[in-house]
Amino acid sequence: MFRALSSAATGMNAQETRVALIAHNLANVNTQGFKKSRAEFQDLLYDKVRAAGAQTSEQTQAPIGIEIGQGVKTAGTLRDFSMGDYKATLAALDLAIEGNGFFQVTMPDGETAYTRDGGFKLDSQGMIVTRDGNPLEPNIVLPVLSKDFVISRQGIVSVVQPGSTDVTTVGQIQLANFVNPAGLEAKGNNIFMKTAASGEPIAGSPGTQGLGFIMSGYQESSNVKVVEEMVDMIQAQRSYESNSRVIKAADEMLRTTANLK
Amino acid sequence: MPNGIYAAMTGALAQEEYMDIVSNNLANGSTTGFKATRATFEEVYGDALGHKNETQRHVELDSTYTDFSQGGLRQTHSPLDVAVMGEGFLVVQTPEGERYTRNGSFTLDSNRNLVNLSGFPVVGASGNFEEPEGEIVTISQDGTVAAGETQLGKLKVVQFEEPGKLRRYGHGLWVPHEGMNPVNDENITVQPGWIEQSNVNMIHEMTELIKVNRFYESFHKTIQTFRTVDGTTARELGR
Repeated sequence: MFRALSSAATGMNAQETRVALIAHNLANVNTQGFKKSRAEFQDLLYDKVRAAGAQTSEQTQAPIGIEIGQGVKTAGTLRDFSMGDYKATLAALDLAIEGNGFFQVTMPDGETAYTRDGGFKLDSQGMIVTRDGNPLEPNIVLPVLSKDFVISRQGIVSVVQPGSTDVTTVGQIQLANFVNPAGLEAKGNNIFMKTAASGEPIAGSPGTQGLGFIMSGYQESSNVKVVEEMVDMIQAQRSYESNSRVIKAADEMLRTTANLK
Repeated sequence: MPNGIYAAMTGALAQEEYMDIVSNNLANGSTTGFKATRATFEEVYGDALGHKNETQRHVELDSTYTDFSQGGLRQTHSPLDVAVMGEGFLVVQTPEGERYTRNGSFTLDSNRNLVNLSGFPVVGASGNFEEPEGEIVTISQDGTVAAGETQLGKLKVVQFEEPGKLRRYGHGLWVPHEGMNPVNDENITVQPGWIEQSNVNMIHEMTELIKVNRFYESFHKTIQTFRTVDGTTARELGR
């Protein structure tokens, strides 16, 4: 019965982890390029009270044994990289990736980071940067005083120079993909870093090598679905409740025993 | 002294063990690929020396087995998650040999091997999977693992004649015991991007919990009644 108490406690812990992830997902329901995550659970080891095949008499064996489990543990958290909805913003520097891939961004320490958040801005030098001021990689600089610029589906950035009607190409945005995007490490600020599990980035132009096209004037919303999270939350809460009932029931049984005398 | 008090005591002990099982089922209500444990009780006649004796009855937890009924499916959108459609088990390689599972939540490890969430490599129909290069890894409905257009191998799915007799290994894995041979299933169907949820039925387990509670209580009432009777006998006869 003490197993019942500790199993139920592991069950409550697991549901707590689940609710923590749901809370984080829901908090980021309006975060551009956010990817939700979920918890995966596994059962703990089993006590073999009597092994299958144990001798029950001289000639006979028990065909099946008695196995009593000890509860549950969190095996890991998995990120869901499915697409979020697109939202039109009309700002030419709001870029959404239509399909697989990540924007490559150079971090202040020189490392390359990856993001699906395409809300870019221009800095004082005319460089295309993220909201945090980190430049795209390879970086693209718009000439000073350029009148108009256009970003094509292939990521080609072209501008109209002042005093001219000709269109000049200033660069092409490159995207990167991974063999196992789920292995990427979330760094916060919508930024992911490569890990051994994600593999090396496979960089290329938009629309090639399985990479998506770029849509200028759109933003990718968070892929969190409020209804799904709410349903999950109800399940987690009920599961938490039933595990706490087990603790109460085990407690009552122990009390009954204690009152036998 | 009547030995009914022992019958009541063994009944209470069996309920305690059953309580542990119900508790484990409920704790695993959200565990992917988990299958509920069920128990059977048996009435035993006989004394401690194994002599058959109608008046020496007691009850024991006879055995536990696994209820392999299908759990609900849930969409995860992850290209490396699969749910096995119909009967059958996916195979992973542990240091102690092959183990069988219904949990198809897979990922790639740092060497880009297809592994389950405990890090055990997934076994393919023809052994190991080739290492993926270049493109994103996906699994198709017939169990083919591919990186872009390149096929890396096919998932192995096996079946057992009496799956209920498989032993549990923890971590959502099962072990066959001697004499149980896995049979390869060639025509498999898996649902990529989905996982199979736990098949624990919360209503069933809560009902069991109430039953355990009440049975336990009544066994204790029985024990108390025997004590009262014994006490009365001693008092009345000694007067």
